[in-house]
Amino acid sequence: METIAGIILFVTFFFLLLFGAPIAIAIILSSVFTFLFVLPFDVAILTSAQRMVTGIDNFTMLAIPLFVLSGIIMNNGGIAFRLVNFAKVLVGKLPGSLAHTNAVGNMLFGSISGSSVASAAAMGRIMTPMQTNQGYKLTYSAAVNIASAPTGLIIPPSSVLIVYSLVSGGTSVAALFMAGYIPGILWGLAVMVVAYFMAKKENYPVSKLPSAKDTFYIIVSAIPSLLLIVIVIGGIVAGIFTATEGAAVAVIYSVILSIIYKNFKLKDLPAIFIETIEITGMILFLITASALFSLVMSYMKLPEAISSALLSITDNQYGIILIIIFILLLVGTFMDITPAVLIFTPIFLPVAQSFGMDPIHFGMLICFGLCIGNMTPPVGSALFVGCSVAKVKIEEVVPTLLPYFGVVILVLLLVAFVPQISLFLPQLFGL
Amino acid sequence: MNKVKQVLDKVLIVFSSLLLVSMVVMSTWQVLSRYVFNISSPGTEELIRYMLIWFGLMSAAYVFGAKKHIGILFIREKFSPKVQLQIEFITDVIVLLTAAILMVYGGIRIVMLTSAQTAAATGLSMGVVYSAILVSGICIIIYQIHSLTSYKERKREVIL
Repeated sequence: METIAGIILFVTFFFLLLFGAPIAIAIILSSVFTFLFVLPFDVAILTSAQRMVTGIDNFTMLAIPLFVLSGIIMNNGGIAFRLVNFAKVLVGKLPGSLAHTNAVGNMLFGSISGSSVASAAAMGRIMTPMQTNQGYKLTYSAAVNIASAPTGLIIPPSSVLIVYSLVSGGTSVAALFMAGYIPGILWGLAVMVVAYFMAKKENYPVSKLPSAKDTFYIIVSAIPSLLLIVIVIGGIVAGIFTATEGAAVAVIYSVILSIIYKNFKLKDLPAIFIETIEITGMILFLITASALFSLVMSYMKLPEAISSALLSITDNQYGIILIIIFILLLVGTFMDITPAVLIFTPIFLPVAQSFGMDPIHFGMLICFGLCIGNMTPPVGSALFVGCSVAKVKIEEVVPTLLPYFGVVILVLLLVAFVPQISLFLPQLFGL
Repeated sequence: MNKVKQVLDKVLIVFSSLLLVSMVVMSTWQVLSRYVFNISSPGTEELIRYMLIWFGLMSAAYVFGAKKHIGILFIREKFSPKVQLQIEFITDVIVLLTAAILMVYGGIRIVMLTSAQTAAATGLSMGVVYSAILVSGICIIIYQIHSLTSYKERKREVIL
């Protein structure tokens, strides 16, 4: 019975997926078909329709549209430029300084804009001409930009982590946010290590550091943008407000900042709203679809079936984690992060918890693993955007990207097997 | 049909934007009222949650119209343009049927079942909350009909 239900669920799902149906529709239909197999028509339809409404009925979920909205408002040249200058002050002394500036810029701007695509586009637009001027190869500068762009998805505030919090049954957003810092920064540092050696080999110049007076000015002018992170994350972690309220505060703050910076025009408002509606309409519909999916899965006891199948291959927990990593990397290459987190968390989290893995630690593993797909063909969105802003072909960049890909996977293995990387900060803050 | 889509787009954008702004203001108000005025308002959070349901389902409907729901397209794109168009047509029909049966039929049933229930803090009828899925389903059907009627033209483009 469970086997047949499982087969119906996955066959329908993959069939619809392969033919390019919207992923949310593939999830919904495969779930409804599986329900129809065990329940009368009316009950199946009624239960499913109800689940699609209750699936969004969650105050925490509001944090997603609000963080997306504030990210879009903050996504303007002025703020990106200020953060680039700030990054230059931090890492300008290393060989290939502009590449490091790009990586740190992505870590800062990516976390504020909450989108690897927005970050890769903004950083690429500013950094590529500068790097070309100093004689950097286009493939080199594009590869650094692409490899570091996904860090902003893990460094908080992060919508992916909120999605994980929801689908994992309410893991604390504050704890996940704190947990995201070390893995996200390690990713960025790993990229910088590779960029360092490549720059040494190519003898790329070290840029001149700005004067002390300029440095002071640069730091002061970056503070208002960085303050957003301090207020929002600080407020959430200190328990002053919930993640959702923090996101609302982020919206208000970014509006005020944009007005002060004179980046905010009333005629931009419709475009800002439309972009927010397009992104969040897609995400929320996926979430509600996956709420139905996980209901069907647990009704059919599928996670238990899958975990016993996995355990029959090996009962060694490290072996299982390696299998999970392999699947995450594979899935990440062809599926976007949000749907993949929504689909695979209910499948793998129970397995991981069965050998005592902390849900926060597992959240880092799954989000980090899937984010790597952002920089790989055939569908990596950071890869596409990074190539298009640098005006290089994807196949030209891929060879240069390979070493980055390698070190990021090494970091993923560290995150997977050293729980402290994820759990140290949340425990330090008592979350 | 193009006219209908344009009007529906506008209505959904304006409605969703208004909900979004209200949710921002109300959530900020919640923080302020708690710390500055020392009052807690359980009704606000409940209301925001219901607004989020409407926002989510209305913006999801809009995204169907804009054809921006993500799917895995790189396999489909391997086929010839003519076959791609046929697959797209079938996908559109599938979405239409899902909206009609699950969201409209299922939506009507669930609204009828719940219209007598009221929400705990605000006293709002749950039927109002659940009708979001019904309205969203109707919007999606309109978008899918619009998309399906445009295939004749697109087929001609492919042949040319």
